[in-house]
Amino acid sequence: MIGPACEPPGGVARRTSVKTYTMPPPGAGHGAGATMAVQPTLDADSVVEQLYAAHWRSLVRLSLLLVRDTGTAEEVVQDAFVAMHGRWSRLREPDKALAYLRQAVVNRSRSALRHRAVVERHARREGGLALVHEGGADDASLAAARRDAVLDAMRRLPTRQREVLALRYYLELSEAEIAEALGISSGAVKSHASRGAAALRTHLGNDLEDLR
Amino acid sequence: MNRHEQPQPGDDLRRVLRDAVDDVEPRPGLDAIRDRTREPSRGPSRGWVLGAFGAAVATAAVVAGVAVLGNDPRPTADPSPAGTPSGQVSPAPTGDPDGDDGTAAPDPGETVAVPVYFAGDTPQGTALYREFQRVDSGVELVSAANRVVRGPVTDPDYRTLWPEGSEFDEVTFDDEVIRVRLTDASLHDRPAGMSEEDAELAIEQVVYTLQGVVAARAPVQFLLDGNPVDTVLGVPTSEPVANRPQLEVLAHVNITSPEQGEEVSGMLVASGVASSFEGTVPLKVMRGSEVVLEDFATAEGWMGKLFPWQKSIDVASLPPGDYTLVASTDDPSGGAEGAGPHTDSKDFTIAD
Repeated sequence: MIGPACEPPGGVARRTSVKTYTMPPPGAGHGAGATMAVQPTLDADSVVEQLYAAHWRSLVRLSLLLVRDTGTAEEVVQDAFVAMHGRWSRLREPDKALAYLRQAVVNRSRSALRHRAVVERHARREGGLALVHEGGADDASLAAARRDAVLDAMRRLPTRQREVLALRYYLELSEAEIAEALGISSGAVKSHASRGAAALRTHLGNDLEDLR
Repeated sequence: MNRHEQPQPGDDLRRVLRDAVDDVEPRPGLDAIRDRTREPSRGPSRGWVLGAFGAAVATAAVVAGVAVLGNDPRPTADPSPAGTPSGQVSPAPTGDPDGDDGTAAPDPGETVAVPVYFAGDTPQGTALYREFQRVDSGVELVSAANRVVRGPVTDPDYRTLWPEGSEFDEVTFDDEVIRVRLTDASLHDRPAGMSEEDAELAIEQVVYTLQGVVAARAPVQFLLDGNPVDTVLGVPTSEPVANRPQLEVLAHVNITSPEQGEEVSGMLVASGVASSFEGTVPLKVMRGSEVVLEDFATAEGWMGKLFPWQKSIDVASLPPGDYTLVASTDDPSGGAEGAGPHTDSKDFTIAD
């Protein structure tokens, strides 16, 4: 019934090469439609490049705060970029694309964590899953140990509190932006933030003592 | 964490979090992203591939696909799904475009249509009916699950079977299992006054809804405190719960379009799903208790599950006002056998 209208433009846009063309391919789905856009419109590939250059690191680190594992964080953020690319025709503005990326990173981090929790429970049952630190007893390993302590402390928080803290204190997002990214009210953001901050300080107080 | 007299509240946390991760240098990912976004097979084809999961889910997948992937050049605040041919087929509700679940919805622009299954009555007892609702994109799983238990319900003939105050904390999907985390233990037992059959249907409300949202027939695992919970509403849930067969659980006819309360002019594009004798879906347009038009649609099939049907009905000759579309299953015995047909109805308005 709605079949023909379902042919999305994404498939077409995906095949475009990154830098060479000067006008949008047919059906690229930007506002200008079939008439040629004289003014260059941002295509999905370019916006991915731009946002990658500006935000890849911070988004991976954001995810790392949530999932505790760099490899997983890289995958999560990569997936988020791919998803954003597919939605560009609806997002259409870099700001919205960035907001979407953040939201996708948080949601996907949450799913990754759920998935991994099962695996880790098994591992723990089979004889203790010690933290693996690379290197010896030097500064790097102390930094790594500190990182682990912080990530562990984050990990002990309820999911929402962890997410709110990471968005607020690492990405420095406003309450409204956090509410949007998490799909909760600003009141909820406030209460998660204050409870989370108190809990994190308590956990860190104990753990970081040992590392000094 | 030895300084507690910081100039800005939270500075200690800012520093701690930055210290923890700012020296982590992620591996470059741009090439991998480019490779993956060049693939023509991801995304758009999904709705079609998943058609194999059956009419109910296929329709949901296609609708969700439209909502997410359509090339609607209009602002996203337009509550009708993108890419519909004329604006007359409108599988997503026109009211309540921002979906809130009791929390603020800061961005009414980014929403997706999700199927939500509610209970309604059939001659054989209670069965599930589906309506599409709009929820915020990115949180559609937990939003859809909470719509199931708390509403709002758009069609006044539908209701939820879940006890008042039910809520889910979090819903995730890892491509194999949908995990639903209960907020607390209050939903463990079957409440007094709820029948066993209703409790099982309540669970199926969630199963069918979330399968529709993820567009896959994945089983649903209910969790409490991170662990599988042995019963929900008294129904065994230690193992992930699969969907029961459509014909046992779903009403045998269900209108997708028009939506309850929709405004129509000229042509009424009626659509839905049904399992009806020989695929025949009798349609009636009522004004009050008076039948003003009769027609029928032919579903794409009729055995074993629900199949999509659609019919355009010319309503240009009808005076403006409030009407009701009634779709039913066919009863070739004329009521002589069995308990009579299943029906679904939607009120709509013909505009001036």
